[in-house]
Amino acid sequence: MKFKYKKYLAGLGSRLRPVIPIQVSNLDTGKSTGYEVLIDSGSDICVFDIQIGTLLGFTFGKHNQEGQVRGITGNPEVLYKEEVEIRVGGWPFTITAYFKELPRDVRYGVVGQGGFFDLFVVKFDLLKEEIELKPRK
Amino acid sequence: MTAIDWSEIYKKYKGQWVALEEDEVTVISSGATAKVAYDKALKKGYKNPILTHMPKDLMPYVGFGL
Repeated sequence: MKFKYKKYLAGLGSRLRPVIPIQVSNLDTGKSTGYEVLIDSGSDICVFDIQIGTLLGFTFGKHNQEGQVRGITGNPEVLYKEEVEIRVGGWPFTITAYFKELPRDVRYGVVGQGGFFDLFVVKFDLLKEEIELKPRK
Repeated sequence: MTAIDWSEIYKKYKGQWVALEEDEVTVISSGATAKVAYDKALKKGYKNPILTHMPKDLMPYVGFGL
């Protein structure tokens, strides 16, 4: 499967990012939405904006709170853990996703090592402006 | 394969959630929250919009701060 990079600015200062569309579904209710996510090999886990989780019908509290994790800023944050279905290019997978209020300027979801790179072999080709995903068998 | 150009979408919808059609460039609706953008898209008859948020400021991205 091949996906195109996203370009946020044209010309000088152009930002090309490996952001692709997936389908995210609540396994219990079947409610789903399309959601653009950044493929981030530097992320250990998959993290989606809490607004997406709320839209899918999840509630967030102690029952699914996963404690605190620390990212590059050094500030600990609370995550909420849920099992969801993601569809990538039509291929369905059940993964563990974490929901939190993402920073204002980074609200696309992030798919990382656990929940994405363990499902796909990922090839980034910046010059061709494409990402290739091969499902692992 | 060239990248999907979101530069115009970014300029117009900075800081907002947008709901896109399957082509990922046609904006169906927008809103301050994902729910607003999503509900507007449903009202327009789109059953499966693709949601994304356009950043307010486009700073270089280095890792991910949780």
